[in-house]
Amino acid sequence: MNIWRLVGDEILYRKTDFLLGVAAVFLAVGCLAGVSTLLRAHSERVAELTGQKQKETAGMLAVARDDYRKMMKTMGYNVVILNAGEDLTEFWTNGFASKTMPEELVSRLCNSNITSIQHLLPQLYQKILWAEQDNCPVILIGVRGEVLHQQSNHKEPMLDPVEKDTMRLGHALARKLGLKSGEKVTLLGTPFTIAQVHEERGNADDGSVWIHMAQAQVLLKKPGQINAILALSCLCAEGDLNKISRQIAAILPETQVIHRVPEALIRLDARYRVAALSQETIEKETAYHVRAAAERETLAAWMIPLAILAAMLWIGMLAWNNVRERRSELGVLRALGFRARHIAALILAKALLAGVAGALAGYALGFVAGLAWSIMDGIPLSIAAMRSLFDVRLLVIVLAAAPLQACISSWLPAMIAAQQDPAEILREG
Amino acid sequence: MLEVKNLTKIYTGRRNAVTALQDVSLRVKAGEFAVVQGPSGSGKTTLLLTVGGLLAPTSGSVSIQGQNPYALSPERRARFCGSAMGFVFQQFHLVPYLNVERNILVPSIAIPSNQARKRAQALMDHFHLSERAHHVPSELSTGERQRVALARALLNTPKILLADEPTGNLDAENAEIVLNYLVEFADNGGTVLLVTHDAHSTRYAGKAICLHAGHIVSE
Repeated sequence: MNIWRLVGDEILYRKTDFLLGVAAVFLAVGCLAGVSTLLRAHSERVAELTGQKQKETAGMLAVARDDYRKMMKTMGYNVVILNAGEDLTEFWTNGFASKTMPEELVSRLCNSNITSIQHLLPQLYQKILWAEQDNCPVILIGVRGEVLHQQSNHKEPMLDPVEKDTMRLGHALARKLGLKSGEKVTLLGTPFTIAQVHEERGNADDGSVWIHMAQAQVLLKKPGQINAILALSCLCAEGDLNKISRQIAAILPETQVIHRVPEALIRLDARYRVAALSQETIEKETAYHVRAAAERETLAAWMIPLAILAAMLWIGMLAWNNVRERRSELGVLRALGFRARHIAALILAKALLAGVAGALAGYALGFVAGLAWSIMDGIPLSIAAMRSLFDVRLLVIVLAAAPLQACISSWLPAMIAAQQDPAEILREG
Repeated sequence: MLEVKNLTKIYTGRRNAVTALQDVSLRVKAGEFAVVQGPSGSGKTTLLLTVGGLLAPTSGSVSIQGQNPYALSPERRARFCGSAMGFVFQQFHLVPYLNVERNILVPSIAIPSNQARKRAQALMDHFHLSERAHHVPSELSTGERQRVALARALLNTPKILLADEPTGNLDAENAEIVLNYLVEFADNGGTVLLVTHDAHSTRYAGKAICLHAGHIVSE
């Protein structure tokens, strides 16, 4: 026989009293566990949504960057460097520059400290009549491939050079002349092999012929001359073309710089705006959830302590009632040799058991209620998600705190019971 | 052996004081069965509680087997009295939710003993309660309840048995059974102090003390 057996038998004898005590703890802990589970579910959902949206935004930005590269390849360059004396009205009317400048300018630019320009493409182009092809008018373009800036860190060249004795044809020209890749042709008396026929681009390129720069300079009788340098700024500098122009002008004062802002940039800007809007939306949504979570936490911050306080008062009242009801029994126990601490232990052990039982039942039901509440709040919960919401730390805390609080609540009645005078009780009969 | 000398107990209220015992002295030796007789309010229960270590006297001394329980700390006094003395009450005061066996074993919670269970079984056999071992008090007759109370008082093998009107609620047959057990206890070397207003009990006692208004009027 020990105190626990005595307490156990007393609990079985006064089941209602005990169950009322358990119910008080159960409600307080259930409230705590339910709200906690709900808050965790919301918090995890917010994190999930935010992560998902961020991933989507990152994907969108990646697509935009990729688009940028592709479009810049196909639609042209954003800076064109021309001879300072070039008549721009004529340039825009003809579609190419008539005045030339030394090819050496490219090297000067390459060796400069401008880091915003990564790619340089010197060109010599002129409108000619292709005598061997029934004087078909074409734009002959001499290129020497991409010249990378000395500080360029780009690994992928944006344009491949044209090999000597080969040519590339624009889509419309090749179709008009019935020429195909691999065929051999003669241009201004020089034999060439068609290395490639470009895809249709929908601009002047479709009527152009590209050959190696040196051969173009010979054919056009302009040795060491070019009439344009196409420069591509890097992605990060896309929005600051004026700055680039100023830097170029400082290095190449004998030139003039014009911008060719393709619609690709406009579309790109739109994409960035969408991405920025998306980011802003995410931030707003996150802020909303954070605010909502804070509001719920504030509510829980006073509601839960209130529930705990009510439970403590209730348990205290039940303990006091129990002490009064057992007055005679406790007096006899004192007469049988029970010390004050034994009597106090009888009351506190009962409170302890009520606390443990209430905490276990409260957490279990609170957790289930929290899950149900979360689902009703529109949070989809898989079995794995439900498992992740099970807060072992909280369970441990309530298993420690609830019995402790129940004991604190019963402390005063227990002390009163322990201090009762057994003689007085026994004299009362 | 128990001995009280010049025992006085005054209950002090807010307005007045009541003298329950006045200069009471008595001595009950081992193997002696003493009955304290007197009308209601004569101080019988006060004497019993004072001797039992539950009610400190206003003056005078109490000696239980040579030890003044009131000289001990409350903790040690409870332990000492719980092992040296057994109580039997008129109302039985059994724990209502414990069965017979566990009621008898209750004192072993306060004073644990490895032999408690064996001793409880022996007492149940002795008091013919074995068949009722798993019955709660409400399922017992009054005589059985008092026998359970008696067995419970004897669990810690006390040397002194203090009984407060133990036959007050019993019929003649059961009263006789209980009184015979008390006689048997005394015959086995125990000390019995029984307080009662029933003159019939004195026939079983070796010593009768008459208490009136807190004074011993005859011995």
